[in-house]
Amino acid sequence: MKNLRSQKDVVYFVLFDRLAVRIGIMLLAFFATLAGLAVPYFQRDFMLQLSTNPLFVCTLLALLSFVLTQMTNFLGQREALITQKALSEKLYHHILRLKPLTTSHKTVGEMVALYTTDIPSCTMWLEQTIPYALTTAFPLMLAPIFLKVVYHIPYSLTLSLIAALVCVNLLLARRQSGFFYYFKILAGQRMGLVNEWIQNIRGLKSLNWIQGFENKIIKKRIEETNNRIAMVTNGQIMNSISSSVTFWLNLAILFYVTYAHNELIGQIDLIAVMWVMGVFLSKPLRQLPWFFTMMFDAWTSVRRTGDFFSLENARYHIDDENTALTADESLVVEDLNLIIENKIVLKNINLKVKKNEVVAIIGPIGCGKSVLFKSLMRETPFKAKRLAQLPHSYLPQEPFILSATLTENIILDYHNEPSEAIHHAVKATQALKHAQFDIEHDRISDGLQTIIGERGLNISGGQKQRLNLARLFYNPLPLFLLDDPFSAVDVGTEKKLIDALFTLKEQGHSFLVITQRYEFLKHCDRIVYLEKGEIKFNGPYTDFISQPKYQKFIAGDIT
Amino acid sequence: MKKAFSKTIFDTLMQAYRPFIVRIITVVILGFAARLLFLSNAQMIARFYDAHKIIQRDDLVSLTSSLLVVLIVSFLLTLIYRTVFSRLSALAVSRIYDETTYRVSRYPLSYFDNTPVGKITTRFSSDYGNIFRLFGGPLAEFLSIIFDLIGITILIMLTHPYFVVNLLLAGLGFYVILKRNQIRLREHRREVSILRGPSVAHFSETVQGSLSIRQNSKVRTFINRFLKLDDLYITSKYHIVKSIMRFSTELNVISTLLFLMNGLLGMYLVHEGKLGAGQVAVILGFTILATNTLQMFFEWYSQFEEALVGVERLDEFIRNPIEEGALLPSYSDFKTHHPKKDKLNKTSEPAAKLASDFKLTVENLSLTYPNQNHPTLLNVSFKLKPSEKLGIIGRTGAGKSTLIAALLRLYPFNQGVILIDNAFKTDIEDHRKQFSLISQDQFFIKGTIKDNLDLFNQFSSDKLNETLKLVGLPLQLHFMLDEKGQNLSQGEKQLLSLARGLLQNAEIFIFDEATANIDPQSEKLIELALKKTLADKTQIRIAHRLQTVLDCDKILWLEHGQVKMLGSTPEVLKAFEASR
Repeated sequence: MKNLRSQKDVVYFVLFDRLAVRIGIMLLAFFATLAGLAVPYFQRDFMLQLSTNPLFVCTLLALLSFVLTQMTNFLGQREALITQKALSEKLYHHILRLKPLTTSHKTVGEMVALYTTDIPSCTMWLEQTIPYALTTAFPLMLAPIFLKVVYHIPYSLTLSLIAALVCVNLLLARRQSGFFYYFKILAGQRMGLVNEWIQNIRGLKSLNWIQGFENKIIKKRIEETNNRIAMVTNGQIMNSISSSVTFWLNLAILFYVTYAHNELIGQIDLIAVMWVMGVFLSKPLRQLPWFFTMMFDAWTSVRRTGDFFSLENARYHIDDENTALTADESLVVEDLNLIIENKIVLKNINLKVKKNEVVAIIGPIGCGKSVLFKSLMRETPFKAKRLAQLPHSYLPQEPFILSATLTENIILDYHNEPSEAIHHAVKATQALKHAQFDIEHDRISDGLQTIIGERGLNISGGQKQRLNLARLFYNPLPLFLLDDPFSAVDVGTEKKLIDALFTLKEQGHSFLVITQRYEFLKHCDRIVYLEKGEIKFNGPYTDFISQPKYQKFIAGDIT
Repeated sequence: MKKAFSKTIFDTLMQAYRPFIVRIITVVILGFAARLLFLSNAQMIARFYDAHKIIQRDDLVSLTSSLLVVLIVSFLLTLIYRTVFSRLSALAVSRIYDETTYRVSRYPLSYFDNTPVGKITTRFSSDYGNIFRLFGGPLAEFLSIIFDLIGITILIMLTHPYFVVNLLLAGLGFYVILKRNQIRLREHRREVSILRGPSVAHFSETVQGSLSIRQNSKVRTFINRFLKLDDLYITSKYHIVKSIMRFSTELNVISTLLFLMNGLLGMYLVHEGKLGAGQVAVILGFTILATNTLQMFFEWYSQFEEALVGVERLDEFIRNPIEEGALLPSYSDFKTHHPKKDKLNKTSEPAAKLASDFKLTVENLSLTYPNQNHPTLLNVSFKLKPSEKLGIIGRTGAGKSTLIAALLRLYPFNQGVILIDNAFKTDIEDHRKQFSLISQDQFFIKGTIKDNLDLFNQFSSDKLNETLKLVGLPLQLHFMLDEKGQNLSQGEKQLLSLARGLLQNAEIFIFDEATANIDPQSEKLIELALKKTLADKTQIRIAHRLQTVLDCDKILWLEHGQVKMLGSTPEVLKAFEASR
């Protein structure tokens, strides 16, 4: 699958992928227009002769024109869906490739919006714009020719009328898409508030901030409504013009015939001219403003999507990737440095973890603990002399939960059949137990089959974290990287968790643990103290606690 | 299966439009007049041609000028109708939004515990979005389509009544087709909305967990899962496209048949000498116009049905029960049997205070959570004098957090009473005003410290800085918090919550030490704050570590939701230690 890397790639992909089909759609639209134009010609015959034959021809042509137009629209929509699917797949791949630092300036909501709104909006070009453009543009191009050839109405008149129309519509559409752009921003902001409101309803109630917060939402809602009203007004002006435009055109032609035409045309002819304007052009002219609006709107989405596709991971560099670990090592880092946006984040990190070792990493907030873990997993653009480790599993600080059953969350895989869960039941229950996950809790009514996450049961932060731990225990790897595993547990549970870790240690696993709980330090083989991205201490707990500086840190001296 | 809409949704819509009803009706009449004028244009031309076999330039002049006048008038009327109607309609439906918000805010907490967040927020995003989109502009369009249809029918009938037979036949055909397709379309639409959720949720999870997915080597698994979910969604959308295509094709066939029938009938009538050729041409023009219009009518019709489903879903929210003791704000305007605040803000409670030494009296409190069989609290009683400090201890699951919730009346209790200054506050807001809950997971939003302290700008910066200094939180007012305050330590959150409590200036402070996870620096600060700042307040401290409650006046030991012991601090702590 070819990756997209820029706005240009997105435009090319949307417009020119499956080119043969796209050209086919254009041809269909062209023939639909021809058939439509032929109708008034035969209708004129019918009016002159008042016999059945031209009427049948007329009917058949009308039907043919309908069917072809229908096909054009259908194929356009089909292409849009196919492209939407392909773009979504590319986006998903891209998301999975991007490393945390690459996306650090994007919110989750923004990235989800790419999938939910921007990609469908990009393909608007196929779904609406192109079929509309064709069913709009061909009639607009062919009508003047038809009028000239058959009724000698000059190009200067028809073309300037059409040009004036296009200009007015472009102007209004430009305005409309501006309103639409703000509408999306404002609606997004409002929904941000609504989410905050619902998720924090407990806190808001206990703070008595309900009414205040409500008013904050409604203030945003009013701002949104005002923009929306301006947009609706502009849209209604567009609609008023487009729904009456055929009448204006009729009148313009009539004025021309009355005041400037050298030959007086017959009554039937004039009716046919009016047919062209009134009926044949009525739908394209109604679509014209919306065609422009959608075009502008899709363009902003194409830009956003393209910008996102152009994000690239910065690469890490390891001088020596070939030296293997010795039999008693589970992790070796030599001279690791990391600079992000001109700031030194990690400096000369040298660290070894032996097998069976439990090493704690501590330090003040923002000293680089979590980013060190991410570097060990090769998720940051660091430079190092050497980095080697045994297969490892990682507990993130923010738990990662799927909207799926407990079992699926533990094995991080999806069942095709619910019955598959049975194969994992014993091990999964065991893992949950080790991780101190409370499966007997009243709300977990279906045991391992309970669906949790965004679309299921909402479990507490602590439970989520222990579930993540259970995922690691399900299939324990030689090295564990645990980022703050005790952050949301009470003292009793903490003890049991420490016991679980040490059972695994005895089986030969090693641990690197970031923690704020200093009780745990006593149990560790080694303490690593990190300050401003540098390792300031690396040694046993007894040595650590004997130094006054670190005593102060542990005691939490605030002076 | 066709489901009838609940009757209350029309009531809700009526309430929403009530303030604008006169203006709306006026512009609708104007709009209808405008459409009639527009359509009579063609009629005028036809009449003119049938009257003048040979056209003179002078006749044309009078025709064009009268057409010009009609056109200008009808255009202006249309413009007024469309813009005014759409604006008023937009204002009306946004009233539904506000009224829903007022009520959802005041739902009982158990509702939120048992309903996924997404289910609630979609009402405010896609349901409201749908309603707003359609009731804003398209409703004006939809009505003018109906005007057109009525107008065209009238004009065709005026030309010759025989055409009515054709119209009726075609109308019948349209109706049958609509009914046949409606059910199918509705099913497909439902399918799409059901399938959308899982694929979006999966995408959002992947965004948040891409690192974990890579680290667990599950990239392939997740890609397959996504492709499967996305494919289901896209396929269901494709079904809609196909259904619409089929629907339109069927409509088109009927339309063409109507065209043919009207052509034949027109031909017959001209031969009989009952009609002029110009009029036949107008009829054929109208036929195509009418069928185009009808097609648009049916397209909108099914969309409006969707919008009504949205109204129904918000209507359900408007009529759900709110929590006991909660009052809607006085400016809430829909009549729905929910109690409402008086317009005049009664600031003073009736002075029926019985002389009492106790600030807080809890008597026989029992609480069973909805959907549970066993009570979580059973017959809990205690009394606190002003500035007295009560410590609450007990193991995980003993009911400590529930007790906090009960004190704030976040859940209804099955029996017992909570009195403040020996009086029961009927208005739940008045009750909650008496308490400040200090907790690390209370309410922290993405924004500055100032936003989190004083969301509604009630206090001066000086006052805020002073409070921050008082609790000893070493952060500036403009310091930015991440989502949920993730970049603050637990201790800092406690302090921030404390500062907020002090600003609220409540009488009773509940200090919830939810976990023991506090960095040493903050722990020191909290200890200081509790001692100094809250000295004259009534305090309830829920403790994880016993040292937090050492300086309390008395201690309540909770076990299995019941009071195991209530007495002086040394006495209870001794017994508690002994039981370990």
